Amino acid sequence: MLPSTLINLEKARALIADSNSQAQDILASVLVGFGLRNVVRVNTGREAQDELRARPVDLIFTDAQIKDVDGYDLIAWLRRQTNETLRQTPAILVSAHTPMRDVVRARDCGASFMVAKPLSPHVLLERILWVARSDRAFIECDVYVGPDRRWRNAGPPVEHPDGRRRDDQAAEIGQAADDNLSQTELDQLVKPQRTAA
Amino acid sequence: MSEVKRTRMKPRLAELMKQPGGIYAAEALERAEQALETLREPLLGSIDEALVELDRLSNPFSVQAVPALYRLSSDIINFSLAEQISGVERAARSLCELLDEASPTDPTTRAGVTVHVASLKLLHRRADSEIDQGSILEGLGRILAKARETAKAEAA
Repeated sequence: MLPSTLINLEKARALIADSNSQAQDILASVLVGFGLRNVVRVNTGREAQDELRARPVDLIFTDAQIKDVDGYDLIAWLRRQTNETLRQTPAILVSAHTPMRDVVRARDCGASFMVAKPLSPHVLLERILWVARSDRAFIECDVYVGPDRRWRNAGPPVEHPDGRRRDDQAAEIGQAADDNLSQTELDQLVKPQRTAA
Repeated sequence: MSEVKRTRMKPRLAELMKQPGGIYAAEALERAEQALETLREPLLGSIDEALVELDRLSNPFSVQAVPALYRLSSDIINFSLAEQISGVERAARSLCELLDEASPTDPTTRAGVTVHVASLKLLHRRADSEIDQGSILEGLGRILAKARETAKAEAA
């Protein structure tokens, strides 16, 4: 993200779902600083569901440990049980403690991102820009509904369409030559030891 | 194998952000930092309250108090952006990990919780020049490693 990147969030509507009012204040302050004028706050997962049923939003931030319906179940509900437009809404999970099992759970519930607290304006703005510009595929199948979880073979980054290195893969990957990956293979893709290798 | 439907995401947010007007990212970040600055003292006050509650719930330590202790240490992580030093966040995160991973009935865990709470109280509202946060965090790291070893041995 360049300092000269122009952003216009004036007309966007965001939902903040967190059971802690001060956590809501932190996030709302940052979003208003970014130029958002329409920020809706709710205290529980059920309230978030009611709000989303009543009026769609453009961006969702939910705490992972929110009361009634937790953040993971809220996003899984959004992805599976709402209409076609609403289900693709960018949804970012925020959490103070992010052990690997929760990161995997966030990935599998269909979250666009998981962001660790304490919240940093710089990280949040980068994530917002990323989900807004994303040309990521949206996947719907029996075991998963949400943004494409596979990050490999994604081609060069959007901001570097010509590629940064000679060995970057092409943006167009063509038709799949093999069967789809199994759930186990997908899980293995995010294992740290595999990524480090 | 189930059928997979793949569509290209077109978030409305992208369309809205392309509209004329708006502000530069540098300015947006500056405004956000300024907005957070106004929350600094209330957040430090909330950490004061959380530490009092942590102290009360951990003395004496009981297994039933673990969820409340975990929630309080998570709150401190959340509010720690108001602190001048990163040690508060790191100590609170270490406490979360201890409560999450260690055996709550192990005496090492009980002692570890007490040391974490005492360390948080030492680190809170301090400037970098006032305290050797590295040594404190190193000590907490050793406690966490020991508690993890014990939990692993118990599970085996």
